[in-house]
Amino acid sequence: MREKELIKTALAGGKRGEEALAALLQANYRLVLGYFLKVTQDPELARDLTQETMVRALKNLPKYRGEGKFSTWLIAVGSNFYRDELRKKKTAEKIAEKTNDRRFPLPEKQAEAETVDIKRALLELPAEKRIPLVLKYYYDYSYQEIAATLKIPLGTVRSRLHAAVRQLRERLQEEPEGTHRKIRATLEES
Amino acid sequence: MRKPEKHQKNLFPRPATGPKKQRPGSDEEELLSALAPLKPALDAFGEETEEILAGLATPGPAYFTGIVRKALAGARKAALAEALTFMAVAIAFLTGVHWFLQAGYFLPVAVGYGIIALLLPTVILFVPEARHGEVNE
Repeated sequence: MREKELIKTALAGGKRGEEALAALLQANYRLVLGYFLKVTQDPELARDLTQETMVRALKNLPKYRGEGKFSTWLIAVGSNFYRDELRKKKTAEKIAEKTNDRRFPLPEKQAEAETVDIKRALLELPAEKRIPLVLKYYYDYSYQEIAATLKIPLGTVRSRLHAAVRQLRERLQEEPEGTHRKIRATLEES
Repeated sequence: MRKPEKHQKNLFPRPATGPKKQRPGSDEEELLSALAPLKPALDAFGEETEEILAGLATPGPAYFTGIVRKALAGARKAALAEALTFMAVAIAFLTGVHWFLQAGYFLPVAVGYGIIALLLPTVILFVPEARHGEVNE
């Protein structure tokens, strides 16, 4: 069944609605998981956040009118949920602990070694800058889309993105003898 | 990772906030050029996350059905509790008004109603609520 039909059935409710909702969630599971994986760099935390996002989306289902893509709506729900959680001090500490302690295993392969610095640099970005950057770079969201997704003004999106890029560049230039010689060389050239 | 592939873009199309407005070109271009030196690293990171994602299993249909049933049951309970609370408060309020009127406090009741009638629309109008499009929760 196509997504639009599934959404229509889901919003109609009933037994078939539940089945349609389950199918929609299953179809979008990996998208949301991949998004949180990029944002948190922690597979386990990403999985927890994905599940919570789905539960939250279901609770807020009456607010979804079925006009936009379901995946876009899930990303919006997830982003705001993650941000809300970070705002709560205790949860923020817990998540920070998780993201700091359970980063990807240290690289064994060359391909992984190349990402160590960028991963660290990304994790050091506050979530308010990291999330727009992930949406912009990996999902090609426009400024307006990021603003609508995160419920923040357009100017804030612009300033956060520029600040994020500036911080990333500075951080990568700072790396003393890391694995990013090529990037540093490119940064110095630019 | 290669910067947003076509297929990836399609998975996250524009939200229903209307057609995509004209891009603030120079600013976005400026951002992209600032990002250019970071592209190899960001792409490598993207590829790595995709590899990790590929290694993670998607739960079966039963998992999603379970989530849906649990969440909807919770939502139904919450809606029922809300409706009952609303009715209880409304009955208590009307009983209070009735009691005051019986006791001869017509003027205070009238003044109270007047204040509510005056303030309520103001409060409703100024509640800071996000009124964005479809993508909002």
